[in-house]
Amino acid sequence: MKLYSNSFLFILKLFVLSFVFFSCSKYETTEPELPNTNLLTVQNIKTDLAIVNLNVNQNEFDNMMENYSDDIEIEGFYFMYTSDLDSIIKNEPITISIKGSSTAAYVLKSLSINFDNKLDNSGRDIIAINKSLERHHYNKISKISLRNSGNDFGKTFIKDISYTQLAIDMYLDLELSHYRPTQVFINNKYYGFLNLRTEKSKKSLANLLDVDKDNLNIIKINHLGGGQEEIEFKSGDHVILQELVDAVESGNTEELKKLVDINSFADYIVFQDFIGNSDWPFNNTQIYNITDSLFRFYLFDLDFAGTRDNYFASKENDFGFLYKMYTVLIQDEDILRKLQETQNKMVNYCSDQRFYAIVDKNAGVIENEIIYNISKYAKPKTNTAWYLEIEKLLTQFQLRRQNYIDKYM
Amino acid sequence: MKKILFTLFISASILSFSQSIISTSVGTSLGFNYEKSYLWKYEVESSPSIGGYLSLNYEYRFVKPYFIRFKLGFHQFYAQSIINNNTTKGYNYNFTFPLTVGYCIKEKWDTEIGIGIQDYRDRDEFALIKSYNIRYNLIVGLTYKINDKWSVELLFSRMLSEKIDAFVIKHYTDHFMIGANYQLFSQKK
Repeated sequence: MKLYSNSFLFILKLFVLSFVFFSCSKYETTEPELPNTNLLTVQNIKTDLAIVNLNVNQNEFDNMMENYSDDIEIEGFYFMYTSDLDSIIKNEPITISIKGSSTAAYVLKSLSINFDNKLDNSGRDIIAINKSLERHHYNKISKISLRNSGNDFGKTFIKDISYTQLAIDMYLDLELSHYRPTQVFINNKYYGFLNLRTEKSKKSLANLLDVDKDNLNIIKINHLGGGQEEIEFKSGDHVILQELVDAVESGNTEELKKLVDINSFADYIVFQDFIGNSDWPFNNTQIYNITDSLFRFYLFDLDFAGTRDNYFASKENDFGFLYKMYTVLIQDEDILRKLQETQNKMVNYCSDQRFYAIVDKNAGVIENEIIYNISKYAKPKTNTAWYLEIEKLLTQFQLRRQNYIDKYM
Repeated sequence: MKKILFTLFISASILSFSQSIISTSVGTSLGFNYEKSYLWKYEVESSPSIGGYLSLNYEYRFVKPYFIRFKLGFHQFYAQSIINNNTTKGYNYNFTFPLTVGYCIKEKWDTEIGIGIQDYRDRDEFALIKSYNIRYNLIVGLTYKINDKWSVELLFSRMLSEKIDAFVIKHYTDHFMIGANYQLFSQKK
């Protein structure tokens, strides 16, 4: 009996060791030779994308990269070229900082670029806008980011922009960030493939809406950790912002209706829920108004889209500001009907085929560019790993869409 | 339904004996995908995988000739695939927990059928969607007893859950397994 017992323990130990040992298994991929990114310059890179070159003091830049959480700003000059090396922007003075919180730790960091002078984008040379709401203006640009794709860094590099494109294609009644994939150099040394994005800052929003930035009142909802959120009065008149908070907290539907743009609210809530953004609603929410107009929503940071298992209308979000706003507003039957109509519109428009077409286009644009990030950072590790991530992006959309239909329709 | 189950339970208690057997199995596997799979726009050309498995089994015999078998299993296999002229090869591993119902065909032959729960989580990446980490397999098996301690088993496993290409590129959908089983402990009531 003791012998059996010892044998049993031996086998059990063998199992535990197997689990631990084999969990280190890795796949190896044999792929074509990678380019040496140390030899790359603005002049010799083979690319179909726009090229950005930042001229900075290298020591200052290295120090900023090393101490990325210290809110360091450095000065420099911005150059931008077409893939044929025609100049788009030349020697524009800028202030550069590292963008992002947890994603700032990544080896290829997102950069926030503040132009000292407003840039003229009336010819759409800096960023082309193929579709936009009538209220949006893109002739002036004060600030951009060169984004590492956030939490999608090292994966597809196109998740955020593809979901954003879906919102653009639907002409959702929201403000959002347009994009342009670029190859970025620092002092003519290769830095990485990044997405140039328009920004949501006060100055950028003022440009987008063609209003005085001092008339903007902005609230942000930020994640504190553990699902807890904070409501941050980002800028503007605190009395006006407090009025919105009070209307939500008091549960007064009629009062809240007078403060919120219902079309923007419906498009925002339904779209974020539909795409299954798991880094929302307790984070990445920006609500604003101009002077005393209705509050509207800015869509951004969709790099966790497609990974959410639960649903906005479920009680799992009942602690949050946005959920409280939702529960107050749906007391009005017209608003509830509006939300249901928006859901139908969303499901019908956002088919798997439509999303596939967007991803196919965006992935096609960078398919021959991603090799530079593979070579310099091993992010992604291989072309095959990137193909797998693209497939996952498509699958996540399909699964979420089907689950959303099963839940609500 | 409850009455039927209760009657079966009482009948089993009265009319049958009970026997618990703990055993371990080790064997080899051959896996393949029977459907074409794609990563984005590229078709995956995958060769059959070769691997091994190890399991710790608990068998409960309650009504002759039937039994229930539960396994704690570990399955590792080596696979190679080519995607857009890029070759990927390496080991893959899954934990599997099959629960089967068996039938003794003859004195030396057993057959079993059941469902295996398998962990398909990508360990070095974020999960696709949390609820899709657990998948289900159909398990069919045949066992031949050589003597009181040793037996030979032949198993077939097929993924029952939705066959998502992003998964099946790493996790083959069908496996044939052949292995040896050694009885560690047996207790009759």
